[in-house]
Amino acid sequence: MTVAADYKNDIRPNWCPGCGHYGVQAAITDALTELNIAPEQMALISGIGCSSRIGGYFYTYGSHTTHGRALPYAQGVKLANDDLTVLVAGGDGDAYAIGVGHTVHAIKRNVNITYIVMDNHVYGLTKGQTSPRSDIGFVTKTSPKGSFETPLPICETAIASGATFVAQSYMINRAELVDLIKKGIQHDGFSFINVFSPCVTYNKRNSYDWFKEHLTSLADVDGYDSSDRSLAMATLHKYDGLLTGLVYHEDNRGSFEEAMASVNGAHAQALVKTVEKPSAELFASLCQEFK
Amino acid sequence: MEKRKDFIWKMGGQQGEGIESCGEIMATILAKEGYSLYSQRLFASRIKGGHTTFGLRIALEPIMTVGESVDFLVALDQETVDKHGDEVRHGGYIICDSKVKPDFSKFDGKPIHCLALPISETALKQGTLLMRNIVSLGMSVALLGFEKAPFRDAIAAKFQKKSQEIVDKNLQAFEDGYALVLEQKEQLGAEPDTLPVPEKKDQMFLLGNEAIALGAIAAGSRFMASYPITPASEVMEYMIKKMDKIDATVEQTEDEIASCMTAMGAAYAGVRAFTCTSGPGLSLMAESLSMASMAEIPVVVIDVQRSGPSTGMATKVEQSDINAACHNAHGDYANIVISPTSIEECFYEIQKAFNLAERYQCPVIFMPDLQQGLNKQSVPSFDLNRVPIERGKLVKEADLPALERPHYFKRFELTEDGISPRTIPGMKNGLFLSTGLEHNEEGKPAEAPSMHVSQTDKRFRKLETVADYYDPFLNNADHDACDVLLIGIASSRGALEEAKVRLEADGVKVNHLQLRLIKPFPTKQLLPFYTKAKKVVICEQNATEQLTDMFRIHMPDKDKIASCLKYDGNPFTASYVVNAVKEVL
Ligand SMILES: Cc1ncc(C[n+]2csc(CCOP(=O)(O)OP(=O)(O)O)c2C)c(N)n1
Ligand code: SF4
Repeated sequence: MTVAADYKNDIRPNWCPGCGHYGVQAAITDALTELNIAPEQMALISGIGCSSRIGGYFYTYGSHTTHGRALPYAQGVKLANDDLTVLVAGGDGDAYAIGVGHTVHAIKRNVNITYIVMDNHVYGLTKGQTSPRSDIGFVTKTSPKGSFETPLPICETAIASGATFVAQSYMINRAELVDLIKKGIQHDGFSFINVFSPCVTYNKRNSYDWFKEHLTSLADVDGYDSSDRSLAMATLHKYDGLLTGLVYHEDNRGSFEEAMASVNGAHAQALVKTVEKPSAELFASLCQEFK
Repeated sequence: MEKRKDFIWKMGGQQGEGIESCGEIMATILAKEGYSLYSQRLFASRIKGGHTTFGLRIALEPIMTVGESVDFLVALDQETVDKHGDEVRHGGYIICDSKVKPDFSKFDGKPIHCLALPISETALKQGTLLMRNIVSLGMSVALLGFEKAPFRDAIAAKFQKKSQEIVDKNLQAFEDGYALVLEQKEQLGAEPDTLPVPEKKDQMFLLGNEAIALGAIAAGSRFMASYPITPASEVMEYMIKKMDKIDATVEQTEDEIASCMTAMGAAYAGVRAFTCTSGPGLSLMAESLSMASMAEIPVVVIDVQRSGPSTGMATKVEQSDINAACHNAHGDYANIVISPTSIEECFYEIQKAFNLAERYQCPVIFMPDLQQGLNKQSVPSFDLNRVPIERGKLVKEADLPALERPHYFKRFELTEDGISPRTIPGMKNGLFLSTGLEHNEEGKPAEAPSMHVSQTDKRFRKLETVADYYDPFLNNADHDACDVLLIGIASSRGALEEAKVRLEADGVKVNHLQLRLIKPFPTKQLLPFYTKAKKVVICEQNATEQLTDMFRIHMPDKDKIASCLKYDGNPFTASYVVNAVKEVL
């Protein structure tokens, strides 16, 4: 069995004291421990941002890639080595601005990986600019008179894009978040988890108190059924997206890997296990078509 | 009379008229007979309609270019005669529809045999103008003096799936066309030369793009992520078509940034991964490639060059991505850029690209051009084992010493040769951090000035041996000292080889090197040839002297450098090169 310390390296996070991302790091550690995932069987792929530094704080395999492009990279990792647990992490700028195209396509494609977005409604690393998730009226360096673009309703976007697993949490709700990450990792297909993670330095508006006041747990919504797509959409709309818990899941769609296998046959083992020349017979049969 | 060694046959008309499929039948049969072939498809960037031609050079010995003076031009429309009539050589033949009126005054007074025949009417006898191509095929076979039987078999096979009636109609159209020319031949008086039947050869006839895909498979790659683009899509299409057979994963991504990053993720995870694109896609990949250089990821990117900038002329050839391939990524970018000199090399050199990527742990850009990617050539059948798989310093999991947390494996160890041992995710005791940030030997972010200098130096030091390991050019230099050293890349090889022969006949001593390695630039290997040449003429298909500039940067005696540029979208011809060289002399 692994213990929390197994995932710890000796790098001190360069996050500000009080940053929400610490809580996300702790929750991921708990989930990995509870699922007993060996550090060498885990690849944590991230983009660029304060949040994306998270991969460097785990004693596992990890790749800190480019701004907004962690998802395609992570899908490559998973498709090359199916035996790995692949977790992707980043911020709301990374996921919903520069990387939104990849986010929508990763959701649609449904490769069996888990995406955790630390949503603080602001750009932290570049020192406080508006994000696609910023509230209307939010004052930042690039919205001095208040942000006036409508924030992207991300859980609705995910569901509309064909997501098979959509969850939302708040890093303070540790038990809920750990449970969702575990469920996400165990989900067969792409699991999407948006986590509110306050930026204490550049977002004084969406503070810890603000989230506490505004978030509603889906456990408290009467008759909520996370397998009901239209109910999920309607509830998100009603609560302006400020919900936590498992928002939507569809369990029998099958991952990209399974869909591909149903058309082309399944790989006998992870591709990485056999990097070798094709057999002479196979190669001859390919060449024959050109003779 | 001197026996001919080769013929050029060209057929032209509107896209969608079956010109290409007709050419394909001709080529496939002749390849089986043992002729050496080089085909060239010229087409407009649209799906139906628009002028198109299919040129085929049919030879007894291997050839590297489609050549220039056409022996037999088959014109289904006026446009073909107007645009290509002047390519027909003295004594050559034009077969055209009776409605087409060749303007002989434009042909420079060349004596040309013209057979204006009722192609359309003959097709209509079978009820459809669609058979004009088959009628023309019959005419061509008669004129070129080939055996009818294999063509009949091929036509039957092609239409078998439809119905026997359609087979019969096509066969009749073929026979009618054949008979029409036979009648005319007698009236013409002149009997066209025919080629002797060659010995059968073990050969294949395929596109450069198909050769690339087969090469990737032979290199053990079973992972591709790509986004469609002319003239590169065939590589992905082939890989996807064979996905089940070769047990591969091929993903059509949402864009080229995703293609490149997906391939990089897969390469980081330990498979041989690649993507294939053209100029616009290469531009999108720039930031990712910069990361691949920094994080030392062995990814292979194929750029089948087309005419630019921007969307440019998507169906025309150019070699104008040289600068981009070498320098499009930001920062001190360490990568390798290579280019195949033939369709055969598309198969062998792409395998070396995978070896280079893993040996030097950096992105490798493999750059054929449209002329190679989209044209077919007959090549000796491929040898699966000529290029062995070499994975460089990839460590075996069993050989890894125990690792104590919080230490990481020194994936970026500052070694003497600059190449570090490499582990992949899943290996116990192989943990390391991978990042596009500057990092220390374990991959931990590190901004100390000395570390950035050491790691930067390491990333470039490792490339110092590339030109010794990888054969940097095709050596076609048979003189010790020469008047002119001709340098080319990619598809210009055939034109340069033929230009050399012609120049030698005029008493000019010519050496020719076709460059394979562009970055790092093989100065040391080029020098012996370079110093013994009075003039160095660099032939490249772009307007901005991209390759010539590399010589200016990396070679001495810049005064002897001249460039021969072509950027009209059409490939080099031997005459074009001969004229350019004569001007320099
Ligand atoms: C191509 C590119 N453009 C811009 C940047 C600068 N940049 C770095 S992080 C970032 C946004 C970070 O915001 P977010 O993803 O929300 O993460 P946070 O820092 O808030 O955790 C930007 C714009 C970059 N690194 N790369
Ligand atoms: S700037 Fe904000 S997001 Fe970045 S570390 Fe500080 S608190 Fe966290």
